Amino acid sequence: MVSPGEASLALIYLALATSLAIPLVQARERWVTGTAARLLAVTGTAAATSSALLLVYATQSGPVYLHEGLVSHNAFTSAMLLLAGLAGLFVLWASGEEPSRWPTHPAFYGLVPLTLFGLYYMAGAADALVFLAAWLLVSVASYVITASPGDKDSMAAAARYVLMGSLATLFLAVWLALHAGLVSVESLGNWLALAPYTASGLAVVAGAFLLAGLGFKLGVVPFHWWLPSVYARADGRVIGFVAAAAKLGFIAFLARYIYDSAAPQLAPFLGVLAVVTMTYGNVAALTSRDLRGILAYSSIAHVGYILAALAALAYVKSADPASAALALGAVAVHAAAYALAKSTLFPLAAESGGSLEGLKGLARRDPHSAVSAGILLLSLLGVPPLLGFWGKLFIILAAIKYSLPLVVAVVVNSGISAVYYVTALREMWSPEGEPRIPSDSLRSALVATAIATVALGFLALALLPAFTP
Amino acid sequence: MVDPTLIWAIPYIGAGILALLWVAGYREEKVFAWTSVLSILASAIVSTIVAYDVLANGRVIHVTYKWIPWINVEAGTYVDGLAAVMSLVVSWLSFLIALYSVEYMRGDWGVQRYFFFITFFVGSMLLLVLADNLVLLFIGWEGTGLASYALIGHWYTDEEEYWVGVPGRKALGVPMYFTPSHSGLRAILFTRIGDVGMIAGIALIYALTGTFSIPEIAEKAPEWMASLASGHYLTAALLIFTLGAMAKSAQFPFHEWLVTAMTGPTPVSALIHAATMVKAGVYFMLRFAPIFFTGALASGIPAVVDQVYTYFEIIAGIGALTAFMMATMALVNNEFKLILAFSTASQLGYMFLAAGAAGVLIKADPEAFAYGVAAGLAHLLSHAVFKAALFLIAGWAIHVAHNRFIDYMGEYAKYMKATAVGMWLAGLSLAGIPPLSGFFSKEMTLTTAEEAHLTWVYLLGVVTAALTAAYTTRLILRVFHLPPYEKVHAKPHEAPPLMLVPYMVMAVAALLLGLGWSGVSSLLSKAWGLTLAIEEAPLIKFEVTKGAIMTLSLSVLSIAFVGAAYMVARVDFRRILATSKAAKVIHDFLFDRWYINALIYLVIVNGFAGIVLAATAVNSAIDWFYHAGLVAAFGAFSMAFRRLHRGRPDYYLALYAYLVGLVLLLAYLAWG
Repeated sequence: MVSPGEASLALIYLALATSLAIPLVQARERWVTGTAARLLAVTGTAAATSSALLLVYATQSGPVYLHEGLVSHNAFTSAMLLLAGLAGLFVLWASGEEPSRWPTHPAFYGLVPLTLFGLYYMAGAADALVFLAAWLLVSVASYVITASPGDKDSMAAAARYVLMGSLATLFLAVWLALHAGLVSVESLGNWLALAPYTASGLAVVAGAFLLAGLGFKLGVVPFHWWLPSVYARADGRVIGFVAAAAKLGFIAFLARYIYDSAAPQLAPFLGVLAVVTMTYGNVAALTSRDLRGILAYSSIAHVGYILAALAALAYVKSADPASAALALGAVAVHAAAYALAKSTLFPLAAESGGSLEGLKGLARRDPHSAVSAGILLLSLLGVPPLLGFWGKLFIILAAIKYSLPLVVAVVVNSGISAVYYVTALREMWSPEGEPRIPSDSLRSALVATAIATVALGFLALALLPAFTP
Repeated sequence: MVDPTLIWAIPYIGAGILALLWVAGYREEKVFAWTSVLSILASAIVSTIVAYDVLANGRVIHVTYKWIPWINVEAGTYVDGLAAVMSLVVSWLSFLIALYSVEYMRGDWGVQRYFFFITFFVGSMLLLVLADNLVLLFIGWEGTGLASYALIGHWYTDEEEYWVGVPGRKALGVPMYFTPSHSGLRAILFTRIGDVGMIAGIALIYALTGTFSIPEIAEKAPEWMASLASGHYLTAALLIFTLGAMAKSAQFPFHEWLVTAMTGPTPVSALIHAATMVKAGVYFMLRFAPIFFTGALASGIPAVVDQVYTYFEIIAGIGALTAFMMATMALVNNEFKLILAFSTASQLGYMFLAAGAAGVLIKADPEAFAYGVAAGLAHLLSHAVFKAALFLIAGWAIHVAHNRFIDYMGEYAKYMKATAVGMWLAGLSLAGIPPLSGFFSKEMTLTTAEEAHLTWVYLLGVVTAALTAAYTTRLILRVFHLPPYEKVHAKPHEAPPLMLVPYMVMAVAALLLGLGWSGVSSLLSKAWGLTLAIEEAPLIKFEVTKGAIMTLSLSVLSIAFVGAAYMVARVDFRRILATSKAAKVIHDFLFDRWYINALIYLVIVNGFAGIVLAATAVNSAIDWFYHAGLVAAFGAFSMAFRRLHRGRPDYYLALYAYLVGLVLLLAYLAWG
């Protein structure tokens, strides 16, 4: 009898297999190749999503250990994997046939399931070397995905991403070295296990290096420099995947690492980073007249909100398991709202040409897309009863256990963010303007994510315990 | 048996019908006028039946309906001796004045509105008098205030002929002439200040007793008064509760609104600003003084008695001061209605004096208390009658002169004999000359002050009596017997019957009430014997005392003196004013109302205007901050943040590396 954990492992290897099979499909007719690649990509992504779903089911009764303990999943990490898989499906849905026209075809289709395969190991990594391997796989895949549209802007964005990413990987290597030195004293057998170690000066420096690396991937201020020029410049369809799906794996690893190993001394450090990050993102987005820019800066802001929950997690985790669980659940629910919204809003930005001008009057010409995009923007803003509201509410409930100023910062920042979300809404409802009408696949994907955002908003209270270890 | 609720319900229903007619677009003047008159007449008849039932059968009628169950408010009508007399006076005077208005207001452009508010006023006034609880009382109270506001500003288009005061005249730089709309606003604002105190008092008493019912409050008086007295709050609390009454009855320092209320149509001045509404404050005193008095005695606690004593002393002092102050102003004024308005405030001062002095007896002679409050009611009654007559005569005089200043009136006795007789009857009653009713009621008041051993209050009362005789004589002589100061073209003639009859009825009533004073006395005695918180009917009998003789001789002397100065010596007061600087200073001080109005405007109104200016500045600053400053600041931050991203990888790499170094350093310093 195969256990659900083993079944999920089988499915994720199926995803890997499809991703590796995609380049092998070469038909004479271009559309045959494209359709086949797309089908395989959807199959692989669906396999990864199903694997995550199995994991969610398996972890409801406790953590699942795989590969003799090198990988361990709990309800939170499997939920994040599920969200990443769903985001991948939505991105594939929203981008339609467009990726098959890119010169790098079928790289994008192949790399989507491959990235999800990498995330499976990253989110569950219980060993530093497993994490390093997953990191490298996901990073390189992300670089290539960013470049895959092949136009000048995407190439330039990918070049920046690669350059800056190498530095981040370097910091991660430094952390790995320090980590090896720190744990070798205590556990000789499994010497790179991600187990807690005694706080010391060296440990703090190691933690800071890990944060510098992960912070880069997440876009935490002050490690965020690459993010606006990559997110706002590259094609929205690929960024939708990088921002909505790939990022969740890094968030999951950071959260789990804090939950398992980090010292409470980390809390104020994370808190400060949270406030700086959300404020920077929101204020910078204020005057932007570019939808891609707004979405890029709002991604920074949302990582700030998640960091607020993580700061609370670091603070309460040993003393108050219930609050720690709430903080993790808050991260998962908020990440769900974030992933749903970004997976189709970034493609919308790509199709509308990036500027807010391209959205002007959308409500008049294409009410379905406009209403759906409006719902997603309001969810990002945190308007009840949408999913984004619950994410923010749970974050606030978790953060209040730690620090009132942090909560005030979250609330004030939500208020600031209203300005640019509402600006975007107003443009869509403008009586003038000749907007670019979204493609059919994008429109249906927008409607689907909007419906999911509304429906999950009503289910959020039920979702929370399922996403909590 | 007639339901006494009808007394105040009928005028309200009448007013409701008028409002519906107006909304329906119906404008027929006669229907509005007679609906008003007849509804007031019906109310007067019911109140007569009810008052007869109360006074003849010696029983207090209390009818209640459930109204707001959850805060224990019942819509109750309570007719004891005091309420019976009050409702009689109010309803019948209102009827006569409404009748007079039919002719007086004929053809006025706002006549429908006029009759609506008159009827509404009568309903409110009767509700105020008959209410068995403070909530209803307050509703009636505010209803009268609203009607007063609307009727003072009746001619809100503010033509100069409807102003009060000499156009262009200023005191200390503050204009001393008032338009109807300004006067209406003044009336509602001045009285509102007092009403805030009244609401506070009602809330306080409710908090202490858990009831709004006046009889229950009277019953629980010893307890709640004792609890206030233990913290030394009793005097202050009672004074705050009484503020509304002081403002309504134009007692110092709230008297200013009544003076300028004379912009309203004359029947309004007669009804609201002489006979009834301004008496609401006096009614309040007469209603609550016995409750406070008896409550203090029943508590048996010296502290309560002491603090109630101080309260009554202050009331008596304010009354005496108002009486004196307003009488001096009446001496020099040259507007017919304004002289009467000063006189009204002055006489209201007497009534407050009576109630206050009666309360002061708590230490010297508690038995005599009922006599004192009876004096207040007696003066209220006689004043209502003669002052209403005087105002209605003033209305006619102003009408024929086409001018409100007495400088344009003169020798009216030649043209209108009956009116002259009425004027003398009502005027001598005001002057306190026997056998008119004003003499007896004023003597009762002064006797109470004398017995209370309030020397200064008593002396002020006596001096005021002499001043009253003087200004009344001056007014009558100048309008009815001396030639006018200014050239007039209009030829006066006698009033039409519909106007003449009401004021002649009242003038003759002033005489008849005096001639039959022993009957009035026994009625008042009976009424007080049936009044809430009064245990025993007072013995009211006129006695010739040294004080009465002294007051009367002073009044007669001052009439003789004024008469001699005008009629025999033919003194030209205008020349004295033109030549003597001292006379001018005194005259201006009195003419400009002791400069109190100017000071109120300079200190309080300008003070608040200053606060408003400051608040506006703060508001603009806040507005600027949110709508311009904050936006600009965030816009600048936003641009600055985004300018950090210059799109060059080498620059980013350097920033990334430096900042990681910085974070490491900070982390190491903090936790290393």
